Amino acid sequence: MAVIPYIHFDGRCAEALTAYAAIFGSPEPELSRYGDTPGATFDDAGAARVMHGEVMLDGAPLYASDFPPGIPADPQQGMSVTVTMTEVARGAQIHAGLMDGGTEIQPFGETFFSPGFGMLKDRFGTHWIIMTLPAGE
Amino acid sequence: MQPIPYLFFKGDCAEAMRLYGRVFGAEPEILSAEAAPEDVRRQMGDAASGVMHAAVRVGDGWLFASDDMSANPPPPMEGSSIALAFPDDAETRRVWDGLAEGGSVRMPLEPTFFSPLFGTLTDRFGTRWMLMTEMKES
Repeated sequence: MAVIPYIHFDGRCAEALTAYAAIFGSPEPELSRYGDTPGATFDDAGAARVMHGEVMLDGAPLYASDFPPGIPADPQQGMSVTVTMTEVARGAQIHAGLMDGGTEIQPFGETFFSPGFGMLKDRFGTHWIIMTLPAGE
Repeated sequence: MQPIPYLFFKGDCAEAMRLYGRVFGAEPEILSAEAAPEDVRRQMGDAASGVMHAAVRVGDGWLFASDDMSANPPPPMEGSSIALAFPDDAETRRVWDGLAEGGSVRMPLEPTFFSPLFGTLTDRFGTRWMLMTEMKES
């Protein structure tokens, strides 16, 4: 059984997952909409919101959805999505890609526990921890 | 590389991780901020107490966490959950019961069109969980 972060958006889930796929070089995200629910009676805007989405990040899934139509949305807080990689250059590239329009929490760089580490909040409100762990450590 | 949820607590990280360790049958690794190098500790200021980093094995994956002891700690976990899918209802219920004590149910465990048993809860440490039984391939 895998542990999968499930993150929620207020209508920008499809846009966010599509951006993440481009940044990680993944296939297009899989998206199902609230309008696909059996017996759904949402208006067009509600039906278009993402009920469940999956995007692959270097071969493993991140799950996401929009809050259901009519349910007040909480901004993401108190949790970051940690992604680990072996190459510092790859970590720097992913950090830079996610930073487009985002907010730096800790600039990407060397720390006492990692040769390449950074933290940020992207323009969709998702918090990320990018950590390079060289192979063999 | 499986993305790993990283949770932030305000001083009860160790207690939360020990509960998760009991529920999921694993010993958590807990690294106190006191273990950080002295120059790093000076930079950390208020954050130099509490848990700097902790990890607990959950199934084949990991859960990471720390305490944020800064003057302006983040609000509790919102806008995200930790999703777990179990092979049978008995295991889903066992984990649900282990996490639910003292917490609050968001969606009670019930059959849905996408899972034979699905529910969401916030545990007593503020962590949000989304638990389900895997749909059997028919």
